Amino acid sequence: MFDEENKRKSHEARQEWDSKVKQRYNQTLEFKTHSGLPLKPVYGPEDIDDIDIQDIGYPGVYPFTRSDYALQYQFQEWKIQQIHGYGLPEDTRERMDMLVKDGMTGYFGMPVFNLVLDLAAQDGIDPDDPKAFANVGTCGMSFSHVHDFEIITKGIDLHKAQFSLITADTCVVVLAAYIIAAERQGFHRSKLRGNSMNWLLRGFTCGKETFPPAPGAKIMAKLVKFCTEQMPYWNTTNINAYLVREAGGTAIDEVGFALAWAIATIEACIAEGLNVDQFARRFGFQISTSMDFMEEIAKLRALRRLWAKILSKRFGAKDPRSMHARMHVQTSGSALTAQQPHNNIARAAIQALAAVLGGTNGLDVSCYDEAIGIPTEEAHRVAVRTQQIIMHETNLHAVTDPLAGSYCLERLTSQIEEEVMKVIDKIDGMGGFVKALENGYPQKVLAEHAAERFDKIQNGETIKVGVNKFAMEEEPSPVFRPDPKAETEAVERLRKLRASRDNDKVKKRLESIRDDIRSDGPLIPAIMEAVDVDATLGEIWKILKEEYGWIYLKNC
Amino acid sequence: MNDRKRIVMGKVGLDSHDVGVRYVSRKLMENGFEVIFVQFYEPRELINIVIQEDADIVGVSFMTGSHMRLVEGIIEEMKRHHVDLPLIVGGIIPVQDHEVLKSMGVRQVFAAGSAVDEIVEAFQRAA
Repeated sequence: MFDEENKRKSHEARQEWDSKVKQRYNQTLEFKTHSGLPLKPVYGPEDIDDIDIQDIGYPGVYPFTRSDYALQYQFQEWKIQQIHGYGLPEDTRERMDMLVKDGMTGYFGMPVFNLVLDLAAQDGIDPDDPKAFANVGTCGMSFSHVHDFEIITKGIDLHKAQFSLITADTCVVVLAAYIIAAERQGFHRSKLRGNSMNWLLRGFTCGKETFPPAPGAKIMAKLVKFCTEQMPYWNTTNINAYLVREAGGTAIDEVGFALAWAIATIEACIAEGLNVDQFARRFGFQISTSMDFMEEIAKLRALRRLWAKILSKRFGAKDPRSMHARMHVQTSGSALTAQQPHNNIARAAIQALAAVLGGTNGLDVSCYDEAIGIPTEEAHRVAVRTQQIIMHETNLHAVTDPLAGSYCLERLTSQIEEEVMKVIDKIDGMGGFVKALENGYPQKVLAEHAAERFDKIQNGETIKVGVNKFAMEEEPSPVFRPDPKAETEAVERLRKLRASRDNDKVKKRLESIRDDIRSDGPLIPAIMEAVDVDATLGEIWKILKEEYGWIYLKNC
Repeated sequence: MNDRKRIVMGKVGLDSHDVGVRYVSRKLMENGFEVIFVQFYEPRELINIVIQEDADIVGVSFMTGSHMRLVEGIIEEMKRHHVDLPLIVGGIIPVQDHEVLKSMGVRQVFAAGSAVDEIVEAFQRAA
């Protein structure tokens, strides 16, 4: 990268530096990044001399290390996209309206939402099922039928708003309900914008009952196919690297397993008859930024570079949009503490800054009371303000990838790329991600790395301010508690729904879903037909579980 | 004869956020306990397992704000089945709720950020 004369001068300067270090400091420094990569105390030109300059390149130019776009925040600021969801739809809608008023906003000032459903809805369980007890509306919005979506979307221009629907496996039913609710209000599916999670292979990150990996991948492909054909603006698949990180993974595990998961998903879509350039541009990543500042920025850049290379070389993608790794960063919740929660404002700001310096497309800043409960209004507002301060007061919107060329950052970016490729190669050697999941490999790695991470906090090797150092007596923080009446009200609404609908029609349409599955049909249309006559989430989900199987994937 | 004390440990309800409780279970096993890890059970099902497994202690982790109602359910089932065992809970449980939970019958509550040594000691005292 540097000519011989400059190399010679740099070498001389390095030798002078080296002798000063030996004179004054009598110890070898062995720092590592949080994911275990070696970190030098000082970097110089020789640390990046072997990097192909094209790999660094320019924004908007393959392999897009620096940005997917030639210019980014100068024209298109990242989306301020905070998660929201609790209680009944009208409860969540109150918080959504507050966030919009406070400035939660998407690309070019368009509305954006990031709706999380409660655990019952994520597991396909209706509020009146005994298994839903105490889980309705507590850490997400209750959902069991199409009218819930009619309430939450009322009065919103759904052709303009980007609606992300955080639903786990039940995304196929939730998407069906969203489309029907939207079309009943005059918004056609072909113009709907938003995100399905479609992360049916994520059962390895947390103990969750789910479909076995092979049918899980198939269902993902069916959602992708449906949207490719009928919803060109819908982002079909969110590869959730964040879950990997929060389950104990290192930054390398996070990107490595996420890409292996994405590869398996792409292969499943190709097996459904799709061409990669038809669907890959509607994939995206949800990824954390945690506290190792330089490593996190490098990680996002490495992900962009890796995705571009994998899509073009492994899958032969031709459309540059297929090679764009679009990212939604959620700042790491597990890095935040219950002790001295206001410290978390500083932590989240640092993590958010790393996300912006890494060129994220969307950002959700975890709130300062993350380790206490779902956010109070104040905590939610502070998270939005954190983003607005970075956006409007730091001048970072003026320069794309401003840290490019940093010896440390470029070395770290390339190191992460190399380490991640080792993870992908290892999983390829096992026969692919689905096989690796069936054999329990990623689960085991996450359990080991989680234990290492927590051991280091317990023994003081990792300092957590306010927890194992600088702890103090403190007053309890305010706690947000969703209205407990939400559960009884949701149950009552279901009772009325079941009493007022045409139950014969519901029964027939549920059985049509079963027929569709058995004939390997497109799935979503049959689900939509059932949702349209007020079949509930739980009733539909029962059919899918019976036909596809339902297992416990995390076993260590 | 196996002298190791048996803990039925895990999560009740639908909450899958288990990285913390899996770590604590691991530490308990390293300290000589037998841990039967459970997930996705209702309180009634949990107590059936406690009885079947002849547990000495019950440990439950919470994250989603459902701890009050679920602990109420667990204690009720324990009473109904005459199961008189220490119940230790932890996770995302606001400090304001700790004394209330103890007055319901919980032996000890560990909020996020607790030292794992203290958690192990609590189980050792309860055994």
